[in-house]
Order: sequence, then structure tokens, then C-alpha cells
Amino acid sequence: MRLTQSIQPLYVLSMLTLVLAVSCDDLIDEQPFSQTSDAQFWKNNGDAESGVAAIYDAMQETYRVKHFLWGEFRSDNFIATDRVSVDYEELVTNRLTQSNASTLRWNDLYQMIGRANLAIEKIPTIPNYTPGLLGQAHVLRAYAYFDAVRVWGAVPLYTEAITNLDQDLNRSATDGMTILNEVVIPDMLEAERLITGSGNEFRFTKAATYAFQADVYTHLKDYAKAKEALDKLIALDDYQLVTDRESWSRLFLSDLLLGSFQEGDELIFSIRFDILEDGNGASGNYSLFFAGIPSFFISPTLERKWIEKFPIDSAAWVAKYPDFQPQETDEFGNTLFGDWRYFESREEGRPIGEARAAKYSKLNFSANDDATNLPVYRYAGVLLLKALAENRLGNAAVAIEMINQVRTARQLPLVDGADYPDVESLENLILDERQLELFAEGDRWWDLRATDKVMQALDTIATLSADQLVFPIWDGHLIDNPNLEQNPGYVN
Amino acid sequence: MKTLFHIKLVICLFLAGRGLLAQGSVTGTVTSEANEPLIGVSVLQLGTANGTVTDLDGNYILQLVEGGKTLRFSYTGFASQEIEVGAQTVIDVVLGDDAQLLDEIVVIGYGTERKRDVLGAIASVDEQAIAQTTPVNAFDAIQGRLSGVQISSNGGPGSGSEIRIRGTSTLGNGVGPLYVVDGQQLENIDNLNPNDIASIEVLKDGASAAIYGSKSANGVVIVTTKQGSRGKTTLEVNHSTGVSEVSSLIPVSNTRQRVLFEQQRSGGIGSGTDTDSLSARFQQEVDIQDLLLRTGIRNQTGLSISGGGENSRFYWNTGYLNEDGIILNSDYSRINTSLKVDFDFNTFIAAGTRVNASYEKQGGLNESSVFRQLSERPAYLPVRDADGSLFPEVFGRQNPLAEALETVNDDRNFRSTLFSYVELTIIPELSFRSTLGVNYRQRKRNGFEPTITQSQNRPATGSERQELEYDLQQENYLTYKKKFGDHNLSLLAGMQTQRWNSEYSELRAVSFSSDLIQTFNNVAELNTSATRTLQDRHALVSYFGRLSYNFRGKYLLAGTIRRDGSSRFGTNRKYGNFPSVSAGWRISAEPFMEGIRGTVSDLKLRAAFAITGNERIGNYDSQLLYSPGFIYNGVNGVAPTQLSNPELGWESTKQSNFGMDLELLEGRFTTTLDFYTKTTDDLLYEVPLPEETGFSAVQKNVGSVENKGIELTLGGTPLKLGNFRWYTSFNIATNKNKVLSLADPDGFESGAFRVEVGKSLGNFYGFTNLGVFAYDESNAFSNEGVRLTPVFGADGTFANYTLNGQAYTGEVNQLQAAGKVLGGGDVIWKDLNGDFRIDNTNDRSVLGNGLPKYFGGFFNEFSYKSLSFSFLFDYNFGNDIYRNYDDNRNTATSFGATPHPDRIEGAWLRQGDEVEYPSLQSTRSQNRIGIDSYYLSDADFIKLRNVRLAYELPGSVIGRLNWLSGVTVNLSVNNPITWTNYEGYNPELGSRGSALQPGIDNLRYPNKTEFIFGIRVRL
Repeated sequence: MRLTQSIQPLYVLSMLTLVLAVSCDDLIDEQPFSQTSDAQFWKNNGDAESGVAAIYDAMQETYRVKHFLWGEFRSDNFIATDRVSVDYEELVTNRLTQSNASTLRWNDLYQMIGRANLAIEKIPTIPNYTPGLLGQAHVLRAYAYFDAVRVWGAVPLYTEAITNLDQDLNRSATDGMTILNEVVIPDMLEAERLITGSGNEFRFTKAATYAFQADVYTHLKDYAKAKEALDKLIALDDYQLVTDRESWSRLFLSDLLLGSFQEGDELIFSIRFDILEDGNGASGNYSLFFAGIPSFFISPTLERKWIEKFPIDSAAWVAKYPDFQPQETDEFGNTLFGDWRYFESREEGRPIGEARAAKYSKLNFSANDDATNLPVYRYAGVLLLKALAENRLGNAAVAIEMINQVRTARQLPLVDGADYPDVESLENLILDERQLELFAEGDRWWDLRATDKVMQALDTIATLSADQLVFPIWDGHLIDNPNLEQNPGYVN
Repeated sequence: MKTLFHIKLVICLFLAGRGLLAQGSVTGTVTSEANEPLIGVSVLQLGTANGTVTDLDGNYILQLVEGGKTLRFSYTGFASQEIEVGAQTVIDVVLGDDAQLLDEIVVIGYGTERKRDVLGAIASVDEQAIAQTTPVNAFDAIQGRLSGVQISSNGGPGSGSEIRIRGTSTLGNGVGPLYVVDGQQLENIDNLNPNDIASIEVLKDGASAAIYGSKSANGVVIVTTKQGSRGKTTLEVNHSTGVSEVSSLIPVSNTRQRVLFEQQRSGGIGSGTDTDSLSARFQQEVDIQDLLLRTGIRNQTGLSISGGGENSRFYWNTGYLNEDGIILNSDYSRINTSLKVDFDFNTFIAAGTRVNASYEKQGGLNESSVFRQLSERPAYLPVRDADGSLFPEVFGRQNPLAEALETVNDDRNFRSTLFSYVELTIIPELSFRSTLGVNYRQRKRNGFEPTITQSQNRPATGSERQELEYDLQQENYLTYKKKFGDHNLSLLAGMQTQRWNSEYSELRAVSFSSDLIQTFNNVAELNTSATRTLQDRHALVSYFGRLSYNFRGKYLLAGTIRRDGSSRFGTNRKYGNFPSVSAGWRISAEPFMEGIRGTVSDLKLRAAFAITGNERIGNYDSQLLYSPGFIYNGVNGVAPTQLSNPELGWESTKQSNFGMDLELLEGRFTTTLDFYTKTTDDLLYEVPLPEETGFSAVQKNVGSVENKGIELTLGGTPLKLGNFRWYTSFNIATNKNKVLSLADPDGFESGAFRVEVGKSLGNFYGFTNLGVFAYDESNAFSNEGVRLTPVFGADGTFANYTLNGQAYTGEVNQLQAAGKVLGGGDVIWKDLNGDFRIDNTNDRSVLGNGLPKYFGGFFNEFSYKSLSFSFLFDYNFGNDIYRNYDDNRNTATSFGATPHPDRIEGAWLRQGDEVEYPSLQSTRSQNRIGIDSYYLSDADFIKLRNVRLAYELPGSVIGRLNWLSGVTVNLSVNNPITWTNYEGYNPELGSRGSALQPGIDNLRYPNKTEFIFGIRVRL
């Protein structure tokens, strides 16, 4: 009696348990809400937009200080203050060691590469995708690899998206020429093909792509191709030089009191920063150039060169340029002798060797409030690079014309080609012109590298061997990847 | 100790009429509850040697002799009963068995077990023990009570405690146990009113915990709440008031010392006075510590009503707690109500529910910034203006008083748990139980930093964060219990599903328009990148079973198995199996123990082995994830943030446990001894990846760690004289930790710690400080690294070196640190590799360890009639604490950070100074090269945790009021004395869940001494 009564509930129970058991795999299949999975993403152009924005976001992280750490501070533009940190002191005195994480860690750079690899792999799977987005992914990857090669020489090469641990994650370095020839150049040509239209200076446009191509070809000393790219850029006729002091200063100024401008027809490509989008201390500009406790001062060598070229007192000016009357006046209406770029570029009222770079801000502001954009390509730089290429191609006259275009816009006396009879002397002039125009824009070190003039420029400042022109690999990377080796110049 | 199912003593007294049978003779039958006669039950006339045993039918006849008039019936596996003979001549006795035995019961997973039949290591405390410390939460109540269970408080009122069972067996953050309240699994029980708790059981060993599978590797804490009992409805009101004061202060520099510091920091000698003696700056002295401290007051009131009828029982309790901490703005209040109702509908269906709801509010002390200011702030900086208003930030130093008084940092929690069951008794041996649990928590944290606490020209700012968490739990299980002759069998089989949901939202302002309105309708600018909502989920599905068997309670055997599937793990390792086996042998039940059973009333050996798991990682850690938020120029970028790892699985802990339970003189003395070895494999850890992959780390199962230890608990009643009784219990536990393998065979560093294979977790790793060089010339070593003694001429100029009293002419080597040759006033760093250069790679070593070697407690209670006096000690030995706050302020790097007063007074000033501390000169970076052995302190302590005097008003007083049934008053002191050499606020320092970094003191909430008066009235 009792047993038969109990069988039914038991039977029901076991059935219930069975039913529940069957559906259990579904029960523990949880998909994220606040993130998304590979399967759901890369479905439409909106996704492609997001994927490409993420590459630029990694670019922001990468270059917010490293644009200058790599391109500026090893050159003859800056000296260290007595309050500099160990990492920055090593950098500015060209005595880098492998523990210098702030300069050498490549995590952000490879994040940029990784996101670009993913976009290049996935965007073509989207129906009716916008070619320009794919083009930007290509040129962004090329840009990152070009810097990796310039900075370290040889680096590990990843061109496919990394999604899981089964992939080879401990790669040895690929030599720089291979990367340039097999990744950077094909990428930048593909980008030129895919990117149409001009416009937004905060993204890689066709013009920015040409400017980048010219950089790569100049680095490779392929001046004909560099010239070709620069000519295409100029032919777009989208840019022109600004022609007065105020407009020039507003290309850079991001000053909380004077105003945040960073505008003008010269700007070809800038990395944009925004406190609301990127958080406090979005950009690292204030902390490098105008910190309350400064790490760097403008080097006396540069200041003296500047004053010597464009004297700042009337006697010396008149002696040098008897026929040229400066147009700019000071606050009292008196003629202002000298290059106004000099006055805009340095901290006012400080002796030589103790001035901070004042191109972006004229006072020290909290690094938290820093949203200064990074000017990457500017029309004046393009013209002066063309001068460099033309000079090497034997077209000295065109080179002089380019220089004088810039000098005219800066209200400075013109140069006479006769004073620079050989390629060498003209190249030195062009490099000086670029140094003054592009001061604190992260170009000087690369100019010296491209023209093999590092030793010459650092003559009295530092001694370094040829294999120390590249940077060392950060020791953390060597620990994480046993297949990596330190660059020869930095092996004890 | 504890009796979940109320002790039921069924004594049937049959008077065989009023016949004139022979005086001094008693007869009767002894049976079990199943009405089976019990053979060989010993019947003893107490106070005499007279006794007999029952025959094959359970009958006995005993001729009484002169002496006591009480009979004791005892039988192995059953509880003894003592019965007053009086005028009776026939006494039939039913000895309780199985569920209704007269024995202590402990709660185990999905059931109960007779305490004496437990095969694992289970420690328990009951409600009397819980009341001892007038606890705010359940952990305060069990601190020092349970061997192998380490509890440390984490800070001020409301911040909860940390519990660690049998050491650290993970590298991640899941070091805490699983909580099971009346069957409902919870991650946190901070909101539980300790007055609701009837008992707490801690399942320490793997075999006991393994029925909880993947959540059990760090142990399981089972909480059983109070329940009504049939019969009279009782009402109880209790109230306690506590007054607390800080127990100890930390040394902080005064104005003179501060000025001395400023003078010496730039390399001078200093006088501690200023030339401008009238300067307000040097006349002012603010004792921040004194300003921030106050007398704390706690009030705790509760009302409970419980009772039951024939078919139902209920328990209802509402409590209110308000605690003002001893630091300004550290307040905590809690209101909670719980209701528990059980119905026995008929013999087939029983059902019940428990509802618990609480509201908690924790006041807003910004602990890290306030304590940091307290220890470092220049004493001359004002905190209030002449008119009493608060001073703004000066020298980049926030005003800590303004910070404590004006900032809002409210943390409010609204929680509720619902748990219902229905139980069907299909046949008496077989029952089916189905439960449904809901756990809901809403947490709101509001922050507001008014203008006064901001640096100059910065506006007020604020934030609001909300977390909504809820989980559901459903389980169904069958229990079968049957006795076949001498064989006792019980079986359990069931399944469970759990799902957790978590939603988070955050509003953050860049600036508020004013201080006046602190809600977000007054925002000037919203911080759009920080304003967001998030959501995630997690599910677990489980099958479990248990078989336990014993033969006459003599040979015991049990096995459990659980299979868990978790949504968190990789597709290849979704499911895990967690088995356990255990066995016991009751030696005392063997015939050869017959003679001494009066002395050794119970002796049992047990052994258990189990595999348990830990699944505490992020909810989607095994999946390839794309996250948004990578904004560029107005477009919200989406990028992969995590690689997939389909192999990601459980941490599994193999644990073996060997134990012994010994009971002497019918429970007067008890001993429990356990040995365990826990080996955790497949540790979940963020393994670094080469960063050129675009990712810096991935969660993997690598490495293993071992914990070994011994636990001993002794308890007893040494003295029992008339109405006087002395009860004592002592426990001690040791734990030894060892890392067996790691992903990186060379080990890795985590903050001040180094984790290495073959060594313990919690090893502090840094430079050894050997003192301070007196002279520049003191930095001189022979080639072998022996220090040379400089000799100076009469005029004080250096003459030569000596070694062992002999003039030394060999090569002189000098130590270098941070690229500088050390001189007078610099720290003598120990040069481990003998190259005379102190560097990170070669000259650091293990300095100490943050994990205790042994710990435990000692409890004593003396009672006389209705008066009782009790006290509890707990202790902790063998670990170190790194005084990071002292290291930070003593380096002299920052002008704003004032060092320790002894550091200032005892600093090196001139050549020849033999002092404890190096020069204060800020440029000497060679004296602050990293973790410095000087700041490592011994953290041993013995705390007199609590002293309590309780008095139950005598019946003669109570009896005058017929509505009153009892009044108890008590006076107690918590933490009156701590014996320690530790200089900081409190040597009892929780690690806040961090497995790898125990014992770093950045200043926590101070230790306090509390005086409590309590009263309990029962109607």
C-alpha cells in the first residue's frame, strides 16, 4: 500500500530531475551584457567605425607622451633640469637603459597594431563596408610599425588578429627592412587607394597618408618617391601656410587662460584629445613641456642657434639683415627684432638654458586638465620635407623656393641659393629650418636619423655608438617573451 | 552545545498502581524510539557501585541499595538519561535514537549529523557563545573561538571582518568561505543580526565541505538561525549600550619636530626654533589625532517573539543598531527584521519560509586620506580659522578635519533574503525537499566632496554609484534514512541551480554648481566618460549525492559527490567533479574498552579525503570579449579586451584530514585534534603575456600551493562544586603555507612581496637595513665584505682602518646604492652578493612573512547560581607587518610629509653620530631604495578580547511579577588589553581579501576598548 503510493511522486521527481538535467547546458551558457563577443561584432559599418575608433584610441595612449619621448628628447632640442626623473634623464642624455619603462614599453603601440590587424581582417567581411575605414586601419598599422622600426630597429611582427592562446605568442623580432617592405609600404599604398576625400584633420585623410608616405620614403632615402607623395599632397590644394604671428601661435595653443585653439589651414593630421572622452590628463603635453617641476629646458645650443640666425636685438639684426625690416611690433609698438616663432616657442622672461617650451601653453597648468592635441603633420613641415627631397634629387632651386615659401609666411628674410652651393650645406640649412619651425613637435630626432646627422648634432652633448641610434627593448618585454633579444648596442 | 532539532526526551512513566511491592527494587524496560528493546543498557544507581544491564528483551531489575535515589541509563550510541526514582518502582525508559536523540546535533550540508558521528573537521559555536562579545556581526562572535579559523577585523564600524579557514589556498581574491544560512548560499553575511543566530558551524575540512563543490575550497560556514518552539509564546527584549575609546595612539610629530625636519631636510642641522619666534606658523600646534578621535557610542536593541502551536512554529526578531565610531564621521546603523515560519501541514507535507530584510548605512570616512593626513600633516598647519570655520587646503595638504566632517561618503545597503521550502515525507524513511531562495541587495554609495576639501579654485564634485545584485537558488533533493538492524544507512541525492545577476550604474560629476545641493540636479558638468551602467550574470548547475553508513555507531563510512557546471569556465572545462570519502572508528565502542568507558566515554578516530573547488574569477574570463569605451573624436570605439581561453577551469583543492575526538567522564572534558594537508592545483592567476600580442595578461590555471596544519581544541569543566562551575576551552592552530609550482618558475613580485616556488605566500621581499654609517669613512669593507673600523687621530682627522684590532692595509671597498657611494648618515644596506653595489636584482631577500604561524583562543567561564563571569583571549603569533605608513612618511622625499617623531629626533646630523636613523636630507635617495627591513615589525599579539559579568535575576524577584519570566543583566568590556610590540594602531590587520599581500599597514581604523552594559528581559 505504502509503496505503491510513494512510487508516483518518486516517478514524477525523477522525470523532473531528468528534464532539468537536459536543459542544464543552456543554463550555464551566459553571454556578456556589457561587452560583446566576436560572433556578434563586425556586422555593419557602425561596427567598422567603432573598430577603427578603437585603433585611434590606442594611438592616443601610445603617442600622448611617446610622440615626444621618441621624436624629440634624444635630439639637441632639450636638456634635463636638476629635478628630472631617472627615466627622463637617461633619455635626454642619450644614456638609455633597458629598465626605462616610460620610454620603452610598447604595450600601447602593439595594442594599436593589434586593433588594426583585427580591423583589416574583419572589415572586408562586412557587406558594403566603407573603404575609407579599411584604408585608415591600413595606414594606422603602417604608422605604428614604421615607428616601431624607427625606434627599435627589429620588432616582433603580428599582422593577423590575436584572439586566443593557441596562436604563436612568443615571436622573435623581424628585421626592420622586412617590416617596412612587406607591411608598411603595402599598407600605405593600400590606404592611398582606399581613402578618398579630405576633411577631418583628426583622422588619416588622403593628404595625411601622403605625408606619411613621404616620411617613410625619406627614411628609406627614396627621395624620388618621397617627392612624388609630397607633390600629390600639394596638388590637393587643401592646405596653406598661415602668415602672421597670431595665426601661427594658434596652430598650437592649448592654454587654459589664453584659450585653446589648435586651429589653422596648416594642420594636416593631429591626434585629438578630450578630457570628457579620454579622462583627466588626456594628453601628456603639459607634463613634458611646461610642468610645475620641469623635467626639461630648451637646450642653450638651440636657443643660441635661433638667436644667431635671427638676432633679437636691433643692432645684430640690422647688421645681419640690413635690408629687412621685421613687421611685428612689441606691446609698446616698437619693432620686434628676431623670429617671432622663437618668442612663441619659449617661456618668457627666463635665461637661456632655463626656459620651458611654451608652444602649447604659456603657464603651468594641472596635468589633469591637459587635452592638447598632438600635431603630427603640418603643411610647413611638408614643404620643408619637400625641400629636403628636392635638394637630394639635385633640384636646389626648388628646395630654396620651398624654404622661402615658409620664410615668407613667417615674415622672415629670404634665403639666397647662392649662399648654399652644395647639397650638404643646403641640407644643413633645411634641417635648421625644420628644427626651428617644428620645434617641440616630435620631428627633430627623426630628421637627424633620416639624414644620418645624429652624431654631428649631438657632437658636444653626448657620445653614442651607431648601434645605440635605436632604442633598447624594455626589460619587461624581454622577460615576458624568451625569444626576444636585446638590441646589440644595449647588451652590457 | 547546539541542538537544532529540539532535544526531545520522552520518558514514559508508568506507575504500577499503589501496590505494596518491596521497597528498594525497580524494574522496567528500555526501548529505542522505534520501540525495539535495547539489549545491554547499563543501569546504574548513582552514587553507588550498584548496577545492572538489560536482558535480551530490554528488561531489567535492580535492587536499590543505600545511597543516591537516581538511576542512570546509558548505552553506546544513545544518550544517557538520569531519572529520579522517587516513589516509582517501574521505570520504563525510551532512549532517543536517530533524528530525535538526546545528543548534540551539528548541521552539515543538506542535513544534520549527530555531533559524535561527524567524520570531518567541523567547528561550531552556539548562541550562548555568540552573545559573549555583544557582537555587531557574526564574525565578532566567533573570533578566537574556533581552531583553524582566523578572523580579523578590517576597519571601522560596519566594515565587516575577514575570515580565513586553514590558510591561503589561492592567488586570487577569493580567500573567503561560502556561507550557507538555513540552506541558502550567500557570499556575504555582514548584514545578519547576530541575535538571530542559533549556531554557526564551520566546515573546515574538504570532506565536510565537498558537498558544496566548486564554492567550497576555502571552507564553508553554515549559519542556522533561531526557530520557534512549540508551546509557550515568548517575548524577549534586549538592549545594550557600549562606550568606546581608542586603545592606543600612534606617534605623530609636533611643531618643533616639524620645524626641525624642515631645517634638516635641506641638509642643515636645525634648532627646531625659528628666528621669527612670533610667527603664527611656529606658534601653532594642532593635534590632529586628538581632533579626529572621539568617544564612540553604540546602542543595540532587539525585540523577538517566538512560539508555536501543534502544527506551526514561528520566530520573529527586529533589531536596531547604531554605532558611532571613535573617529569622526565613521558611523554605522542597521535595522533588520527576520521572520521564520514552519508548518507541519500533515505527516506528509511540511513547509516553511524565512524572510530577512535589512537596511545598513555606513558613514563616510575616507579612511586612506584621513589616516595619511593624520600621520604626516605638519603640526603647525591650522585646521580651523579664528572664527571656527574650517581651513582650506594648504601646501597641497587637504584639511583632514574638513575631510572627516564635510565629505559625504555614504554607503547604504538594502538587502533581503527569502528562502522557502516544502518537504514531503513520502515514506517515513524517504523525504523530498524542494527549496527556493532569493537574495537581493541594493547598494547605493553617494560621495560628495565640497569646495572646502578641494584644492584651490576647484569646484565641488560628487558621485553616485548603485549596485543591484540578486541571485536565485533552487534545489531539490531526496533523503533516505533507514536502520537495518545494526546497520544505519542514509542517502542523499539532489540537484541545484543558481543564477547571479549584477547591475551597476555610476554617475559622476566633474563639478557641482555649489555645495548647497548635493544631488545631481545641481551638476555643473557631468563626467561623461565615467558615467555608465554595467551588467553581468553567472550561473551554476549542480548535482550532488551522499551516502553514509555506520555499523552500530562503531564503524562509520561516508562519501559525497558533487558535479558542478559553471558559466564562468571555458567550453572545454565547464563541468567539474568534487568527490569525498571519509571513515571513522569509534574505539570506545569496542568491547576491549568496556572497562574504562566510565572514564573514556567516547573515543573516535577519523580520516577524510576530498577534492573541492574554487570558481571565483570574473564572470566571462574564458571568453574573447570586445568592450566599448575606447572613444576617439566622438566615436565610441570597441576593441577586444580579453583573449579566449577554452581551457580555463576550476581551482581544485585536494585535502586530507586525520582527526581524533576524545571525550572523558561523560563529556566533562573533550578534545578534538586534526591534522590536514591541503594542496590546491590549477591556481587561477593572471599570467603575463608578451605585450606585443596586444594583451598584457590572461587568466590561466597554473601553479599549486600547499597548506598544512594541526588544530587542537580542548574543553572541559574542571571544577563543579555545588552551584559553582568552571568551564574552560582552549584552541590552537598552526598553518604552514608553501608554493609548490608557478607559471613563472622564477616566481614573481606582488607589491612588497615575492612569490617563489618552495616558499610561503606572504614573504616580504626587500633590502636589509643594518644601521647607519657614523662617518663617511665608516663605509669601508675588506675584499671579503668585513666592515673595517676607521680610526681617527686626536684632532679628529682620519688616520687608518683596523680589522679585528689590527691595522688594515689591504684594499678598501665602499658600498654604493642608487649610484652613490654611501657616507656618514646613510643606511648600511646589506650587500648580499658581495659586489659592494646595492641593486634590486642581487641585494634583496626575504625579510619576513605576513601569515601567522599559530593562532587560537582561550575561554573561561565561572558560574555560580545565576551569576556568571567569563573572559576570552585570542592570540596570533609568527607573522610580521610592514609599517608602510612609516616608510612613506620617513623617506623625507616630500616636504609635506612629516616623519615619525623619533625619526626626526634620532636622525644623523654630523660625522660621528651613532644613531638609529639616517640623515633627513631629501637628496639622499640612497636611503630610500625600496622595501626596507627597518619597517618590518613583529605582529605577535595576545588580546584579552572580552570580559563579561552576567547576572540572571533570581526567581524570587522575578516571581513577584507574574508576566515576567526572566531578566539578565550583564557588564562587559571588549578589547580591554592587548599585549603586543607592534607600534601601529592594531596588530590585527586583515588583508582585505588580498591573497598575496598580507600585513601591509597603511594605517587602518584604530583598535578600541569598549565598555558595554546589556539587559535582556524575557516574558
